[in-house]
Amino acid sequence: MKIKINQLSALYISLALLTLLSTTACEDIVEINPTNAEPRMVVNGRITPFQGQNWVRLNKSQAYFERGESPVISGATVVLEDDAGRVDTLVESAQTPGLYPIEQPGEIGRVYALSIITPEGEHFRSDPERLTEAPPIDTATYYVEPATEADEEDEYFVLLTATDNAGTRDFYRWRYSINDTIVTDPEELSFSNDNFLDGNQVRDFQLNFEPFRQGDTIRVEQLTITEDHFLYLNLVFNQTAFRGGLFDTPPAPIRGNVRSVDDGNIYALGYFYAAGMAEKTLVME
Amino acid sequence: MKHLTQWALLLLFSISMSPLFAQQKATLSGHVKDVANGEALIQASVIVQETRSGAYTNEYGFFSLSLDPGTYTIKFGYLGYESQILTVELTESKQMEIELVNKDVTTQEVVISSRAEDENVKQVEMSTVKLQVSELKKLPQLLGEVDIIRNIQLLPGVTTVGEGATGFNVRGGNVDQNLILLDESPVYNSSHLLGFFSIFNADAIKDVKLYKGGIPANYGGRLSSVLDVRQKEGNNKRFAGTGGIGLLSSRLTLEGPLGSEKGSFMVAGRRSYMDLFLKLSPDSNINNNTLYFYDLNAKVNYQIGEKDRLFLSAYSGNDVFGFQDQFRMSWGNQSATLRWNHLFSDKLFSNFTAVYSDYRYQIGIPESEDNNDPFDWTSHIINYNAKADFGWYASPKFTLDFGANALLYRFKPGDVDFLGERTNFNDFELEHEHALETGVYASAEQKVNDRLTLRYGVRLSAFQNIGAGKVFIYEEGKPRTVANIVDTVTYGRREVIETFTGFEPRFSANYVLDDQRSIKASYNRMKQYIHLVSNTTSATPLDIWKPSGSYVEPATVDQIALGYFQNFADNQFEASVEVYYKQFDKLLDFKDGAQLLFNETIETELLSGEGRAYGAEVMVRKQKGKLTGWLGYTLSRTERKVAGINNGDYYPANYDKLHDVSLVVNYQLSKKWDVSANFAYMSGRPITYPDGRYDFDGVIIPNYGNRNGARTPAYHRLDLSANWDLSKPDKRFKSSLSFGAYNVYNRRNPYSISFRPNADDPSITEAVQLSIFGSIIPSVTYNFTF
Repeated sequence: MKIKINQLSALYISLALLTLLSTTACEDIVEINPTNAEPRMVVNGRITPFQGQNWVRLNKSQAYFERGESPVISGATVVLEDDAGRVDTLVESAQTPGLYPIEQPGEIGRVYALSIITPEGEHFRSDPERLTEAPPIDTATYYVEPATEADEEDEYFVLLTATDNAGTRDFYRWRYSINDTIVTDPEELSFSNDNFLDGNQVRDFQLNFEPFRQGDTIRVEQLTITEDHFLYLNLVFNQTAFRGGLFDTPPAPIRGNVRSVDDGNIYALGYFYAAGMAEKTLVME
Repeated sequence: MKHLTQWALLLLFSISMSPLFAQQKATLSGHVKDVANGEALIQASVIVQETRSGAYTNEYGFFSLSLDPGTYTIKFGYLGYESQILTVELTESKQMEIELVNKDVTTQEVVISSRAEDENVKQVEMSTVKLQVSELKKLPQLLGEVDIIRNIQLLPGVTTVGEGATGFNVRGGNVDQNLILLDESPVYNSSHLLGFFSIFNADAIKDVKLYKGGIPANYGGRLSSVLDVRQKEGNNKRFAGTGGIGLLSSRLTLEGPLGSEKGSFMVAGRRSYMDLFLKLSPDSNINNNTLYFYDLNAKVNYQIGEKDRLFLSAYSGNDVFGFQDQFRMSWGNQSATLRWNHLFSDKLFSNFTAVYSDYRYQIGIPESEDNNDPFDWTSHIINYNAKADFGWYASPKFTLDFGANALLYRFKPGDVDFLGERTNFNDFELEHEHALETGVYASAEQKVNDRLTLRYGVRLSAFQNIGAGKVFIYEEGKPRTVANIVDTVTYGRREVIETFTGFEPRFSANYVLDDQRSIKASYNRMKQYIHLVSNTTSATPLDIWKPSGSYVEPATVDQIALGYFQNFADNQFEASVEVYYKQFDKLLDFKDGAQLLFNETIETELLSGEGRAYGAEVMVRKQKGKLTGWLGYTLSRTERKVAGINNGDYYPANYDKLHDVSLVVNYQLSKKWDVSANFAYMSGRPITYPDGRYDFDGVIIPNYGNRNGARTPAYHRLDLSANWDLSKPDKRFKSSLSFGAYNVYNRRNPYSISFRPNADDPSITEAVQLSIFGSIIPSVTYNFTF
């Protein structure tokens, strides 16, 4: 459940190849000069039923090899709407320009959409996202792989148990932070559908590939996401974690769910999602 | 189907009429064979000096010539063999078994091509290349493994995505557009080790022929090429063996007569032994791994009376990979072919074939304490093919090939069993699919006059996707997604779900300017009814094939080619220039990020596109003398057009390479030593560069612009080898050592360039070039025959 079966197999094929090629294959960092496109709006936003966990962040895309943080979009008009008539104009954070926190949490079963008017006056809108209740995390434990060498550290891996809703097509994502820093390594993207496990209790599936260290505080969010969000994550995973081998899929622009109101072919990068959430925090002792 | 039957009847009728206009003639027929081992010589020439007419032997070494009664001087020729000139008094029909002597045995002269000397100019065939295994054995080979597919990639018009990629691309065709036949049995995956080596054990192979265009009507089912590989029949004169010990694998072939030259057998085995080296490693992460492949080939043939001969051949190959006790994977082809040659008369040759083949793969996590969710996943493609082929040698000026076949497919795309008692997952099986592909064909070869030869024919094909099965119905006018499924239609066993038919005309012409020069032209239309479902750069062994059906249409290609052919210096040099244009229609393509494995509703991930490919190929080949080899050059373009990709504009295919140069030479230094070199140069392959970057939830994402809008740096490589003949004169046991070096000057040829954040500082992004071979790869191989 940690990763889907096809990703698993592909991963192992790569491993097979690596074993085989370890003597001959090599990687080099090369200089290339791609043509850069005009900067575009990047939307990162979410709404969950948890207070203080919801926000919209607006940035601009950068040239691929540009150093430094991406520029923020300040002074946009950002409005959150739902299917029960809520119209919520978000106020940009004073401390963090480009961040538009959502004060009022989401409700289960509601459908949310985002409307953005950029400082330049362009009007964007997200596709509707339904917030579906997340099943609880039944248990969250961890196990320790003791270090074998003196200069190594013990390795900690978190195991989760959760139960899928029977009879519905569900999509899940696990998002976690180490000591309040969200993990952004693409290989640690964790998401699944319930194709092979509808209605099952899935026991002790491993959350992290990269080991945690002793003393780390891990906070896990178990999110119930929409199919669109799942497909988006899948594209992100394929184009970030899974590159540079024999079995790459063709890279392509990833369309998120925010597009121009005037011209449907113009779209913003990034994704705005609504998700049910269950969370657990545990300390690696 | 009805018109197919009519066609067949018409053909039979015309054959039965044949005595009417051939009555006064006498027929000279028979076989041409190698005197040393009784192997049939394919495309040997049989020339009647008096009439300047002649024939070539077919795949079984058979020829037939109908002449006015009289006395003739007949020359039997085969490149690399002593010609035999016989005076034949032909008063009535006569059969002859001709045995030719290989010059290699008698003289120092090295001849590398298996065919008639002037075939390049005289045959109507174009866009075809024959390779002889004995030639390949002298050339530099990766790790010393003589690899037919890798050598094919050195021919003009053949490219690959990159080193180590499965399969090959012919004139802009995808890897699934090659009909690969091993003794007429289809091969679905021709690769070992994911593409590094091919499944053909060179010692067991007699003849390899690649058709790139002007494909004869007896072949069908793939768009771009036919690779016809024939296994050795086995020595019918004496018991003999061939073998070798290399760095990667060892092999042994045994052959010999069965019942006083009436028949013969051949068995061959090859196994790699990298896993034995892995075991030597002290590191338990490595020595627990399994990694090997093997091939077994077997063939027997037996002559029953004067008119009948039976051939039974079989192949079994497998790749096995195990990663400690955590993972197991294997894949392979199994096939068996039974053939029956029958002479209805000395003019009507026939061959009946029955083929069974099974391509299978298996992946699993074995049951063990550490493995949470052990599973076993298997997939099969099973084929049953029945075929009848006839060759009617009406006169030296007119021959007719015709036949029919029926091919039954069973696709079992995936069956997953979760093994553990407390598994989290539910077992899953993808719907099986069944299909029947039938074809009838007729192809005539007519010598219009001394200069002009025509070959014209047609193949009529039909494809039926049959039940049991279910088809999802999607809401009309809406995108094809799971959410838009409105109904499911269930079909019973053997119920026809969908039927397609194809009209595939084939045409070739050869106009001989003089003894040394000719102009050729060809046109062919091909239909392909089954498709490889793969959207990765290199196809994987796990890719499934999908038959045409409710949501997948058959693909079509039209190809025209023109060529100029010339031989120089007493046929020492063969040269050709060909130009081609291909238009593809209804090519299968895939949505971005398509989920192709374990998808019950795979039609939701499919797109359909068109393609075009055009180019020019130049080849100069030297066949005789101390220096042999070829120089090939291809200038070509291959493009795809798919709605939804690259704004619906044409974009270069993954294996589009503008320039492709290859030079292959072998030089006989002395009786004991010969040296060889390969040089290859190719334009870089298309890749997609990012035009910007952004983040989603902190994950840094490159934004990819134009599909395949950029290119990797060019590819070039030099390989060298030297062969040292250790044989003592007059001894039956002969042996040699081959020393090779692949990628001599340590070129790091780019396979791919990918983009990622720096491991230490994710705010810095970098471009990473992967080279499959980063350094020189030496090899040494010991070969023997007895």
